[in-house]
This record gives sequence, structure tokens and C-alpha cells, in this order.
Amino acid sequence: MIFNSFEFLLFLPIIFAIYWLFRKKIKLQNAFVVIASYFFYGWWDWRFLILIAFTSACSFASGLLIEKVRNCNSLDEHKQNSCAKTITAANIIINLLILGIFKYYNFFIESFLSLFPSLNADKLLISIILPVGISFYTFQALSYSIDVFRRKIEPTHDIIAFFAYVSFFPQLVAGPIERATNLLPQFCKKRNFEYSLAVDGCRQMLWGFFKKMVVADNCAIFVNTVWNDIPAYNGSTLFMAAIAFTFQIYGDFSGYSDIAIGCAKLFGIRLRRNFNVPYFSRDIAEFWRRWHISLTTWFRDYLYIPMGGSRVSKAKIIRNTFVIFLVSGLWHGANWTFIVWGAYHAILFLPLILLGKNRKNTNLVAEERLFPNLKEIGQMLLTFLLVVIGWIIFRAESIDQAEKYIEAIFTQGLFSIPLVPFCTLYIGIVIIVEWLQRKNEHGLEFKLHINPWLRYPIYYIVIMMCIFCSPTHNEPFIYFQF
Amino acid sequence: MRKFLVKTILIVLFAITPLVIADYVSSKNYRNRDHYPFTTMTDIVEGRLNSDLWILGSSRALVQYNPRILDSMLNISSYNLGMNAQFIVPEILCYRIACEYNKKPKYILLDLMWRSLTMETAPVSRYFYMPYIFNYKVRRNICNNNIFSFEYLNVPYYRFHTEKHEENNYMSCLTYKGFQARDIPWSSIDLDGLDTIHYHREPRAIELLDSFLFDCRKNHISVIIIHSPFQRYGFEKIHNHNEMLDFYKGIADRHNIPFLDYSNDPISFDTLNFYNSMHLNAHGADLFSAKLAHDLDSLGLIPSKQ
Repeated sequence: MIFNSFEFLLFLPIIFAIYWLFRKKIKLQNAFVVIASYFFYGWWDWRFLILIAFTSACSFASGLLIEKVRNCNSLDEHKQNSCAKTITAANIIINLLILGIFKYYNFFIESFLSLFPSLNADKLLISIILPVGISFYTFQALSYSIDVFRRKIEPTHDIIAFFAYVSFFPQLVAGPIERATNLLPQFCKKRNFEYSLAVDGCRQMLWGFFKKMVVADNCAIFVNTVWNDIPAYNGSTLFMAAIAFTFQIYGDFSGYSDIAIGCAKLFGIRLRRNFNVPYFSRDIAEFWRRWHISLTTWFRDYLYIPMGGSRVSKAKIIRNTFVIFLVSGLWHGANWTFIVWGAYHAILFLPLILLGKNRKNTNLVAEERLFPNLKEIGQMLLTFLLVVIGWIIFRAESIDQAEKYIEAIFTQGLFSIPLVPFCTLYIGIVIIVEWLQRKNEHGLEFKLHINPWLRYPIYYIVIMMCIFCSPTHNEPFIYFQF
Repeated sequence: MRKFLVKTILIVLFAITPLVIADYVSSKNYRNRDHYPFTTMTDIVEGRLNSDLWILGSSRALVQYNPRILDSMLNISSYNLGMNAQFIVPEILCYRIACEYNKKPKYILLDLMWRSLTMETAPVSRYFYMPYIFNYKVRRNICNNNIFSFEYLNVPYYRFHTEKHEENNYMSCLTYKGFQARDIPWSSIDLDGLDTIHYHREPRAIELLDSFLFDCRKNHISVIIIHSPFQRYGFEKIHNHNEMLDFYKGIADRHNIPFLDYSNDPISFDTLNFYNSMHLNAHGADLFSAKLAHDLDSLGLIPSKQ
């Protein structure tokens, strides 16, 4: 079930109504969340439920085992720690193995076979369906296990709350990847309906739908048309399509995140912000602090810092940076383009971190001003351009296609008159709104005291645009494939 | 919570209101259009068929059976209910809806071809019923058809939004009593690109056809199954065409109804009568219609002196 479908429009109010009927009984409410979430997930394919249940059960059990080991008086502290480490490692290995088999098995076999073409080992390839959202909920479950080991969170004995934490349907299939320290406690305490939170949630959902249905889906039409016949278009049009894809993936992914976060607010749950106006970044380091925040912080906390982070020798910093970006690329999918995309960003990021300039731009651009100055504009445009090139590699089906695309931009008339698609208007709207609202969590975050005669027409226009300006068919969410 | 629910409901109602208005305006606009398929569908829904002879079939029926010629030669009133890109399921659906609004005919010419007996339903058939979704009798018949989704049937204006892309295909298709004359010269492009076709049939489609024929007999409607002219080279591409013709003959025999086969008729051998391998052009359609009218009369299937 996808968010921009009538099934979801029917599903949500029903779940909302029943959820708040159980507001006085937390356990019942959580159980209902699990049922609703499994129903939501099972709508894709009921077989996926087995995997998510297994992942949840593994991580839940690992938390309990760690607690048992730590409370075991017959073991000294060193042995306790060692056992806890083993349990955590085992949970990580099991879950990553599952993820690896479903997502990467065929990719690695095909890559291996391509190195040895004489080997006739096609039988090694197996037909696998990639379960939707497996990358997201696996990481979410693992973060609990690791946080328990690190004593950041007490292991929970409430299996229902834990299953609700892993499977909570708004963020199940495409994030944000939540941390147990943030989300699990919310399932363990009573939730009261908050009017202002629910209203803000609705607005955030509306903005998410606008970004997905109006911006992303309209950009997709132009992008797909161009990518399907690259030689037919001049360089400037190819460049326009690259920009359109930049906004397609932003509208798609941040739109989904907004819908997820907004939806969670309806249930009294606060999820982490996942995007923070990334295209207004002044350098690549800032971009990665603002793009897919839940994933980048996950890798920072569970991979980069344990490897030493930036507090090691320069050689190790380089190694750590490359590992993070390559793994991040690989996380996105089983294709060399994602790995190259990760490496590309690592190369861009490295100079900043080696020179100690990766935390230069931590505040918001033009924080106290309406307009950026020339220097900021230059920095944003340069960063944006570098990101656009990265998205070309990301979008391509192969390295070869990415090369051809980039080459074609420069050889097929970069300065000729481009095709200007209609989606440019929607891109302009999202840029303006997100710039004006850059201090707020989302584009439609208004203070409630603002005149309703101003607010309601805006909501209405956005709703009408979602209905009348979206293409006639639904494009799938890009990040569902990850 | 109450305040939130009230406000949400009010906003939803406000959002739906323009959709309802847009739906009403669009429905009226489409019903008044002067091109296929809306001229035909409006004639059906407003009970204006007034015909004793209906022609059912796919696009081959639509462009190959000229009512003007059939009417004048057979001294009868006919109406062409051929449907573009459609096979047995939507063809029978169209018949049922036509029966809801019009007096039943005395005769039906049922054009069958190599793809007729499949359960395929092209999405374009949704387009035909677009302005009539909220007509009770139309709705009653299409509700159980799986090409109409829940939102298509129930959400105001949604269907007009999703079917916008079909408009360009039909803007210039003027018709006379449902018939569309295609005055287009022969082109072998589709023939050159055509691989060998394998005729196949699906049991459920055969059941539907049998049920339709029983229904016609019950209503005293004489059905004549016709395999209309098919450009010869294209026909040879259907590698088991004899099996197809034998099967249609078998169905006709089983129901004790006539089967007329024009695949070997001289019309089929002259590319000047076609605009592609499967469809007669305007000239070919006139020739065929005249031939058919003559055969129907001479064989006593539809006597011209009614």
C-alpha cells in the first residue's frame, strides 16, 4: 500500500479512529499498531511479514540476552562484556546476512561471473523478490541491539512495544530510520491526542503529497522521456533533465518522509526529521548533514565513529570516509552505479574533512536575512552542481550509461536552447516555499495564530494542485527499491 | 479531538465540492461531444438506437460494417456497436448496457476475430463509459468488471483526470450510427512488423460467449457470427487460422446459428480495400457491407422484405 493511493486514504482514517479508541490502554494500542502495520506491510506481499517478524524477534531477543548476561553474577565484567558483544555481533550478522542475501546475492554473483566469463555458473543465480523496506527496518532493528550493548537504552521486555517500534507503518518502508532511544520510549508511554501536533501532522502530510505527486511525479515524466532516448536531446536539455531528476528524487524521498512524519504525528508519535533543505547547502559536508539525515547519522554512529571517526591518522580518516560513502552507496542498491556514486561523494567530502572544514557551515544559510549574499549563492550553486552530477550517476542503469549521459551534456550542445518542461514551474514553487520556510520543519509549518483567511486558502490551493496537477498515473516511490 | 475531526471533515468536504462540480461539468461536456465513442455511448444511454440490427465486435466491426448500406439494402435500421481495441468481455458488456436502455434488436451481427475469445480488456474501454459512471444502469453493469477500480467508480472527477491521455486518440473520429469510415490509404507497416500470430482462446471467454448466445436465443434475437475480411497476407500470419475458423464454425453449429466467413472472399485479396492488415478502409467497408447485405438477404438470414 503506497501513501498516494485510495487504499491508504481509506486505511488511515480507520486506523486513526480505532487507535484513539484504545488511548487508555497502551498495550492494546501498541498491539493495534502492530496489527495495522503488518496489514499495511502485508498488502505488498504477505511473505514479507515473516522476515520482518524474524528480524524483530532476533533483535528483541538479543536485547533480553544481553540483559541476562549482564545480570549473571557468575560471570565477571570482562566476560559479561564479551558475551554481550558476541550476542550483538550475532544479531548483526544474522540480520545483515538476510539483508545481504535478499539484496546483494545476485549482484555479487553476477559481478563475480563477469570477471570470469568462461565460468558457466548461471545456476548460482536465484530468483529473489526484494522485500520492500528491508534496508530500513533492518537498520532500525540493529540500532536497538547496538544501543542496548552500548547501554544507551535499557532492553525492553515489552515485545509488543518493540514490534511496534520496528514495524510502525508510517516509516516502515522508506524511513526515517528511527533510533530506539527516540521511538521506543514513545511506545512505552501513554500518548495523548494533541490538537496542534495532529494539525501540524496533516499539514506536513499535505506538503509531502505535494512534493511527491506534483513535483516528483511531473519531473519523472520529463526525466524518463529524456533518459529513454539520450542521443535525441541536446546537452542543455540533458542538463535540464539532470536538474529535474535532482528535484524528482528530492520531492519523492523528502515527500515520503514528510508524509511519514506527518502521519506519525496523527498518532502522537514524533519521528526524527530526515531532510533539512539539503539543496541550500554551501558545501558537500553540509549537504550530507541535511540529506537523508537518519541514514547518515546511522552510519556515523554505528560505523564511522567505531572505526575511529576523524580522531585517527589522516590515512585512517581517508579509509573511514571511503568506507562510509561506499557502504552508503551500496546500501542504496545492488549496482555499481551506487558504489561509484558513493565514491564520488567520498572524493568530494575528503578535502573538507582533511582540511578540517567539514563543519564550517553548521548554521542555516542566510539565517537572519531573507536573501543570501553573492558568496552564499555561489557556494550553493557549486554544491548543487556537484550534487546534480552525482545524481546522474545514481540515476543511470550502468556506469557506461552515466558516462554517456555526462559526455552527451558537453558534446551535444550544452549552450543550445533547452526544452523547458512544465515541471520547472513546480520546481520553482518548491524552491521558493522551502527557502522561505527553511527555518521550519516543513513547507507548510505555520504558527496557528496566523490569520486562518490566509492559511486555509493556501491549504486549499495545495490540495487542488495535488488533485489536478499530478500526472494521471502514480510513479512508484524511488526509495522503495532500496 | 472533536475540533480536529470537525475541521478535517469540513476541509475534505470543501476539497470534494469542486471535484463534484468538475465531474458534473465534464460528464455533460463529454456526452455532448460529436465524436466516437461518445456519440455511440450517448445514443445508447439516451435510448436512441431504435434499431432491429446491432453489430457487435472490435475495431474490425467498428470500421467495416456500414449501417447506411445495410439499412438501404436490407430495408432495416441498424446500429454499429463495434468497440475499438476491445474483445468479447467489453463487447458483451456493451450489449447488456444497450439492452438496458433500448428495445432489444431482432438481429445481431457478431464479428469475431483471432483475439476475440480472450478475457483481455484494454484500459481504453474505461474511457467509453467515463461520462456515464453515475448512471444507475451503466453502473450496475460495470461494477463487477475488474477494469473499473474503486476510485474510478466512486471518486468524483478522478476518471476524467486519469483518462485525459485518451482524448487525442479519438478527437477526430466522427461516426454515423456508430460506424467509423476510415478513408486512409493502405500501409503495410503493421504487416511488416507483425510476427506470427497464434490464435488462442480462453475457457472463461468461451463460457461468456455461450452465455451471451443463450441469452440472445431466449430473447428471440437471431445472431449471425461473421469473420469479416482480413487482408490475406496478414491472415496468413495467424499460423493456426484454420483452427480458429473451425472453432467458430463449431460454436455456430452448437447454437444452430449461421457463420459467415469472408477470409477467402476476393475483398480480402486486394490491399486497395484495406488501410492495414486487419481493417478495411472506407471503400473496402462499403464493398463488404454491400456484399454482406446481399448474402444476408439471399441466404434468408435477414430478408430485405421485412
